[in-house]
Amino acid sequence: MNRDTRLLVPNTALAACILLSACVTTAPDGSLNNARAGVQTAAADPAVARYDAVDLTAAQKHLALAEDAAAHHDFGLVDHESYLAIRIAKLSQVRADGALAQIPAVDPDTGNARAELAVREAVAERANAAAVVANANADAANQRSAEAAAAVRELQPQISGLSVEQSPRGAMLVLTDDYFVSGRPELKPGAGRILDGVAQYLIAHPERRVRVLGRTDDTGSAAFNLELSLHRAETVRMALVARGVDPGRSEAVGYGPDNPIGVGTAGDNPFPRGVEILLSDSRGQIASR
Amino acid sequence: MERLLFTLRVTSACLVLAVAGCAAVPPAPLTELALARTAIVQAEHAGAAQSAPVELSSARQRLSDAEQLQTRDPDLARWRAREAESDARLAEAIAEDARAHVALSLNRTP
Repeated sequence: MNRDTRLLVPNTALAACILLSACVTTAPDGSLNNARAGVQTAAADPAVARYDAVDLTAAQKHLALAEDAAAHHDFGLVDHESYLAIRIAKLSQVRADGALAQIPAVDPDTGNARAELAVREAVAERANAAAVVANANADAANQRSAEAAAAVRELQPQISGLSVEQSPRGAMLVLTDDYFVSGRPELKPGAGRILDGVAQYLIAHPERRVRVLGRTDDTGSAAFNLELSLHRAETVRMALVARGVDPGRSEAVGYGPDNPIGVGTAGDNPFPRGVEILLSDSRGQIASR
Repeated sequence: MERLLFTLRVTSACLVLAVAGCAAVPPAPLTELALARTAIVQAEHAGAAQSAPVELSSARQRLSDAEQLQTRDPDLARWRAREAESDARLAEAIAEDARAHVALSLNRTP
């Protein structure tokens, strides 16, 4: 009997490992956001609409497949379809650019003035469209930063002992490793007051969403770190839900030791073990970088 | 005891085989691999090695990943092959675009 038990233990551990690894998800929004941006840029380029609408349509189709895969949490497929969308969107722009370059400088029938004019018009039209996109992006960035500042102003008075920061991605606060039991996902009692404040704010602002991101340093195994970061993020999310925050307005993501979004809080380099609580803008949008 | 263990082992082996039998193994993505190879050759002919080395080497890397994965994980191999093809087609377009611009500047020079 003793011998059976000895056999059983490693097998159970193995099965648990397999089950857990199936649950751990990495953040998919990086590739999908890049694909959205890439397709948007190509769609805003009038030269693409004129000279390579076929590839643009194909890129849009792959983006739609990526969005669909994201809705079904199939993150491998999200990355794959996003990759194709980005590449084909870029392809449409390069081909349109090549087509512009091939507009004959000298029109054999009507004389060269008209052909030159067509080139100049197409190039100018393209530059205008790029400027419009750049302006829209700048406006959106200003809007985001104003909204983040507002959230910081409103949330900070409800939080004592921890500063709410304004990052390029929005208002956020960081529960460092000190707020967690060492090497474990459980929160220490001291975190309760802070989560009370965050929950109150979210209940008072039903238009905002929250993303909880767990990260670790890179000591120890990657699998352990990924799992720990996800469990800690999920623990914080559940603590907010327990305080009355709508579960549908919150999400938890584990990054492990990776930092794919390339940002820490100001001066923090590398990002410490801990959990970042990131607030959305007033439309529920959370920027990924 | 030994007998019981033996029975357990045989049963679990049968289970594994049964489950493996259920999951239909998808065929190797031969079409996608062929398309990716063709696209890479075309990109090379267009001069992508000079004009688009990053895209071309990404295409080659993904094709080689796809070739290695084709029996072990045919679905993943299919994805890598499609990605390689999209890299190669982009590389080819960049090379052609570069040529068009060279032609344009030659035409405009008096």
